[in-house]
Amino acid sequence: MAGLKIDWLADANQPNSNVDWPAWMQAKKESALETLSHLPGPHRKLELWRYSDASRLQKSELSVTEKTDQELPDAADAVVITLSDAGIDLGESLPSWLTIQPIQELPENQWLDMDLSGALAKELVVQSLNQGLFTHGVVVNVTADAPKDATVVLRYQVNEPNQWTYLRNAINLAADAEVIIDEQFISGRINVVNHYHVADNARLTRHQLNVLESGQQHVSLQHFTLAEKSFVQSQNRHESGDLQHHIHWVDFTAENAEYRSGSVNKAGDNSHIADIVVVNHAFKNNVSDVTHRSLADDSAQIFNNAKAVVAKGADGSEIIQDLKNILLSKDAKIASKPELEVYADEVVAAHGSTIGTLDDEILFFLRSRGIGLAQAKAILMVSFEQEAIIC
Amino acid sequence: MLEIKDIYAKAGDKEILKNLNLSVKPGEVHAIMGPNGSGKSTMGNLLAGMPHVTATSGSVTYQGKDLLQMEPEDRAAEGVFLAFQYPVEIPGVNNMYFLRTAYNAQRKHRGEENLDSASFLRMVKEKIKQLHMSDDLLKRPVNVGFSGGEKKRNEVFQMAVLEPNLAIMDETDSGLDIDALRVVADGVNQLRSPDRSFVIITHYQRLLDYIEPDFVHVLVDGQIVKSGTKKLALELEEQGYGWLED
Repeated sequence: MAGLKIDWLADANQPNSNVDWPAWMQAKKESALETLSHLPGPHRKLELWRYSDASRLQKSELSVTEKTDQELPDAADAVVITLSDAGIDLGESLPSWLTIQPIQELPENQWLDMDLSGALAKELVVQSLNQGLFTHGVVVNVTADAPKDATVVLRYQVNEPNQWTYLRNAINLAADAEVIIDEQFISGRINVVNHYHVADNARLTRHQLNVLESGQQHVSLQHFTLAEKSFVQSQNRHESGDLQHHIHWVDFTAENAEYRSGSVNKAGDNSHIADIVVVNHAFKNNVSDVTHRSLADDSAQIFNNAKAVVAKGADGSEIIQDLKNILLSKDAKIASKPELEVYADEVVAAHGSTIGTLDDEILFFLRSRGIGLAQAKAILMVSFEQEAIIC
Repeated sequence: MLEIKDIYAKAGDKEILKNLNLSVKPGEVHAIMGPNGSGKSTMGNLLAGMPHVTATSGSVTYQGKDLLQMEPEDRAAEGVFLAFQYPVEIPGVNNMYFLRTAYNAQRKHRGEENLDSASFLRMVKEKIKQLHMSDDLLKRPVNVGFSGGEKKRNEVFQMAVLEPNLAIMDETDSGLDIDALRVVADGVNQLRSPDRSFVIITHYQRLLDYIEPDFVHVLVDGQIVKSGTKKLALELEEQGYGWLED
């Protein structure tokens, strides 16, 4: 791929092109595009793209199957924010514990630059493109007054099926705040970047529901910063589609915080799914616990990567990486990679990865009770997924 | 009910059953005893349809049908039940859901309507009460965190719900203390009926103190070498299997 800027700008969906960007933000966008225009596109020599066919990102037209009605979690008591071609829909009036602004009203001091230099920039080039091309998004601020089970739903519902739509959101939890954020992919070809800032003692429960139709594509970067004694639990479900590439990037910015994530990845047909979690333990006494359960069928491919980097002096860090995978056909492929990079002296770390098939003995047990093979397999898959259901 | 004729069978690549013959009539209880490795469990697995156990010759007729040609789920729906020696654990799938799925799958096979949730719940609660078991069992994931005794009791409970015609119990007594053994045996005795037959695989005579068999067979090196009444089990308890292996 030649210049990213030229190829990708041409394909970008620009539904919000008349936005009056603040000068500093406009400068950030232009600077990002200028830098990215000199970078190569993603390719198989990059670690994060080794097991995904990056050339699919450039398909001019996706062959999306007819949309079936997706069963969404009950959002009756939640604040629903829909990001679509039409912009942002906030629904009814907002509760007092919540403020929502368009992304162009983000205070400059809250902007998080993506690192566009060095080897990492090449790995994150697709997600980084968002910095130059995002057209809309929201800043969500949750105060400490949020009631128990306060829920905000972010829905990505774009009608344009082929051109990439770039969305960028900032979700800020004040000190002692507690909230549930549900991210739901509904439609579109979406590249989204979310920055979650979780302040001292705040607690975030997050659900990412990405069940794609055959032929759809979705790329995301979820960036979390965890302040002192904060807690994040993130539940991710990535199913089907032509291509899904998700990066969860976690930075501890103080001590005694905890990040837990559970991912269920299910790919069939010729689907490619990458689920990458990078946790930077830069401070002492933080905990990260990452569990992935993945199932690949037909000629699908899944890449699981849980990486923890423990900086020098970040003693007392605790890390768990538990990646288990099941291949359901002889042509399916799964690459599973737990990674520890530890520079501190006192660290508790456990990591493991397995790839196997459905347990024959349990299948036989279920069949011996009268349950047919297909249903027995489905039960076993549900059972397998349960270990990654954390919230 | 069941006619096993001249069966030779392999578990994986290893030939285990060698010219096995057994005939079971409705309402009969047959105890199969024998030393380790004699083929007792292989026989149970062959009847239930475990994929890696295959018959190389001979025949098994169950209620007039060729049992070996049937899939495991079809055998179950036709009334064959295997109580596992080592019951498996299924995290995240509760007993109630699992049992209802199995129950309705068997009904569907027989061309019957599904039983709705409320009726099923009433039925299983009645069964569990009859077996003197705690209904806490229903809410828990299948065998997860169960003691050895609870797992075996759960097998008997499944049998009570599914009401098979032929129940094969593979060392259901192994690992049980006396109280648990009594609960399991009581459960089996409650299910005895003129239409239902049992094949009870066991190492020890003690189970047969609680479940009175009509016949006792000794399996050695893949074939039945001696058959008799309960008295034979008492002889085996005293003398071991050595005198039959020579």
